[in-house]
Amino acid sequence: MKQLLYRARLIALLWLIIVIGVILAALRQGPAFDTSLMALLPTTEQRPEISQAVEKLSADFSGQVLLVVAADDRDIARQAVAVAAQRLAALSDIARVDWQLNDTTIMSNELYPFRFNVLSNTVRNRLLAGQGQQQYQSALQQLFSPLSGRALDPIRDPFGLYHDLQMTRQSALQITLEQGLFRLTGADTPAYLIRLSLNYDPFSLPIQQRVLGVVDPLEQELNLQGAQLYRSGLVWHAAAGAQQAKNEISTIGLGSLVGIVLLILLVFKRVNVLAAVLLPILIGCLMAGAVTLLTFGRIHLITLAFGAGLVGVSVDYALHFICERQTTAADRVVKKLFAGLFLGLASSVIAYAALALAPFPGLRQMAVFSVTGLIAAWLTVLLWLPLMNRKASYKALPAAVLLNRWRMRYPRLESQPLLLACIVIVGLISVVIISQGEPQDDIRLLQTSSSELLNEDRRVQQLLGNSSSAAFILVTGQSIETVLQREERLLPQLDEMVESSQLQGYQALSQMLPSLQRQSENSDLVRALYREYLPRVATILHFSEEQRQSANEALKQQLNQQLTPADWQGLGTSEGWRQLLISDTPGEAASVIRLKGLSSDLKSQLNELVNSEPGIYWVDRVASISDLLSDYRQQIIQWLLLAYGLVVLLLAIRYRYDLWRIILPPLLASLLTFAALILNDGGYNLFNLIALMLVLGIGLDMGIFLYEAADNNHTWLAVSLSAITSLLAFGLLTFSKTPVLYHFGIIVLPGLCLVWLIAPLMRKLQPEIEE
Amino acid sequence: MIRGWLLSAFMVFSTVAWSADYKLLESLTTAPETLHGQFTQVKFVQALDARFESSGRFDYQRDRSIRWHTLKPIDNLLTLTPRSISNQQGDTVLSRLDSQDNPVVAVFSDIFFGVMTAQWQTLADYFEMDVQGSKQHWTVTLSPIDQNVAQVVARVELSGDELLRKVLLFEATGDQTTIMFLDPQP
Repeated sequence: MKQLLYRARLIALLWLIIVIGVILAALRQGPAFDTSLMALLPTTEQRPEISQAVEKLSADFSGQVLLVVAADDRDIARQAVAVAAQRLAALSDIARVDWQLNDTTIMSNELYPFRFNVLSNTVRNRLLAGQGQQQYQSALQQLFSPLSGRALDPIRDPFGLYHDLQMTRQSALQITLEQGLFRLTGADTPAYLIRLSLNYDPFSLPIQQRVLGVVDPLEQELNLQGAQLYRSGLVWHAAAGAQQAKNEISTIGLGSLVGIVLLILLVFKRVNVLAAVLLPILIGCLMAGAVTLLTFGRIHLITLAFGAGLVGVSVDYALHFICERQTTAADRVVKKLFAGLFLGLASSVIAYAALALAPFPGLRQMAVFSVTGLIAAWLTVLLWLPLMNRKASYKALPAAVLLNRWRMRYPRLESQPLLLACIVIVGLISVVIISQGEPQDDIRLLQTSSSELLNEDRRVQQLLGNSSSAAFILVTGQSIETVLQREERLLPQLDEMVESSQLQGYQALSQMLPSLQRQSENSDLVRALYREYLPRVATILHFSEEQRQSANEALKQQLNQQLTPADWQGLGTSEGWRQLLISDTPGEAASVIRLKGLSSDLKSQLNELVNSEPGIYWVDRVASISDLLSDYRQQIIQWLLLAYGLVVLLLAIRYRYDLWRIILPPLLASLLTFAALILNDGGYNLFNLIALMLVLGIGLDMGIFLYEAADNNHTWLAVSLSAITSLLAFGLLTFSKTPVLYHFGIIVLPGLCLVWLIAPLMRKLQPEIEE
Repeated sequence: MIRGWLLSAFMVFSTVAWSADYKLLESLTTAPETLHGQFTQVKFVQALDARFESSGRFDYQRDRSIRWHTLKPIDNLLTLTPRSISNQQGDTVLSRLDSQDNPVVAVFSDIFFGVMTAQWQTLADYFEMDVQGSKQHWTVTLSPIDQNVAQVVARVELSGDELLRKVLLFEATGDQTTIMFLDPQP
């Protein structure tokens, strides 16, 4: 006996060491919260090059923090930029801060040697159309124009090819250098750009705190000086999300915990019972959080919320133990309960683990969280509770007696035909309403960021003339050359869309870096131009024989000087454009074409357009995620129906005709809740359906327990407590500002309430006759 | 490219500024709503060691557009708006540039409109100003302080009486342009 106790203590100690070890490991890594919905969703594309492009674009995007400093007065704005740069210098160990450029200028002559191979579109089209005459005229015009520009080099470039190229080069962003500062040309008042490139994960809480700790006071300081600060970047959304998570954990999480504590104290009137109930929950949650953090690197807010459901389930283990403890000695409780508890754990673990089978990273995280939490809570109950309060004894609980008395006075469905009719009618009406419900799969409904933050972000992106990163054209090929050639075949169609004002503009790699094929076409065109028109230019400009020769010499020397992708990437002019090249690996080269001013009409046109050429894809993240949500919604409906089907089959074996007593409460509650939701919100989404699965699971549990121990006061108490703790854990999510959590809560809260209210209606008249 | 534009801008003010301080210039000058007249231009191109003469008409509407119409020896119309520069020969549009997408165009557009509407504060972004002479005959010398402008322009000299009469532009390449304004009228 003593030896047994010794062994039990040893195992309990071992468990304690494991718990402490895992939690310390997680703490060392540091907590990180994820709120991005994208993180929950699987990669949408089967094509690896598409997911690679999406990943690269989001990686480029995720570390970028853009600040715009603006004021009505130019001096104030410039001063504010200097102040901002000074304050932001404090972040130099975690981010690169770009706010000025002194050495280089926007008008470098890097491309001059390539002027015969890289032509502006206008010039190329002109020459293609055989209108060399126009180019000649244009060169003459430059000679007489007050705006002729720097590049007037009548001997080495008598047709002004370089001037035309320079004047038509668009910059990647709408910025210009104004005495070293990046001024936004798209803004009405003086506005300047400051760019931070974070070297660390923007989801890391310490990084967020550092950045906010500098930028928030900076904004106040600048406001006092009469300047404004606008922000854009993932880090702001991540920080706001983390803040919201923190708030909700501390309000909703604390709320449910306080509720559970009060409930247990009220029912058991003993502090040591409270400890016995709370300890497994605490250990379960800590272990679940720690293991998830260690496995995935960060915890998603939604995982935490879903995990809150653990509280309700792990309370069950403790309650069973405590109820059993009333009549049994501490060391025998475990033996007696082991089989039941183990089956309970096994079925829950299998159910949650099944979530991991779905190709849904979010569900996998929830599965890991739930399974770890359940096992940890279960182990805590089995290993620690028997060692606590070894001498305590319990007596019948007044709450159980009270609850049971109330239940007995509850009407029975079988003896109330009118009630039965009512229920059937209400159920049927619900079915009709549900059949009218429209699914809502638009991911934007689930946006977690506040509208102010989104608007501010949008405004900065607009000022910069940034194109969408959520929808783009992906061009792939065997080599960069193939990719560029494919782009060049596609661009005329995009130009048409710009021409007809459907599209505001686009950015493509081949605009800056023509394919080598195109470059040699260009040089042929230029050669022809020189052959035909150089004599005329020479006459009009009074070239000497020597000058004529040097003009030809310059052409000869540089006619074959092609701009290779490697050369181009080394030039300053490729700044801001290099990101368009997703991969230059031979065999899997790829580039993206970014588009400005997309409408849904245009999207379908673009979708058709890309089908005309192999290797080109239209990628619309928002649409494909919405499609994905719709896919999963349909799958979940099938799962739900399948689950009901299996449960009916399984339970029918044991309960035969009494099956309806167990199925009806969760079924009816689900129908009513779902119908009410559709009446209220006009539609439903994936997350409502996942919540319905929870209602089914918890509801069935209640039904089974009640049926199995129909006459036991304490079973009804345990069921009620379990329902209320689940309500407190899940149902409070209804008050969450995070849309996904709200969609869970809005189903679970009324759903479980209804199950609890409906279940007693199902009791048998003479439960003792049960076989 | 800045040249003529600067000039025509300076004719905007009939009162002469006596201080290098742009704020004082600002207080002395006002831009009429519209102005038109004729010009002659002589450009010396160093690489060719040759002079090219041209003449034509100009007009502007404040904050809206500036038209520079060369009539001899070729017919060419240059139109600037705050957002774009377009170049037309007869009915053929030779080029149309958007200043929002291209920083080079933006700088010129910015300076040009600054000058035309006597926004000395805008000009002070790009130039240091030195004013000399008397009210009857004055000269303003603009020296670029902005590196981008300095790549193109070495120096600009503006001179006139109650109106701007002459502009001398010294380009970084050694080219020189002289523009004379004749008979400017609001």
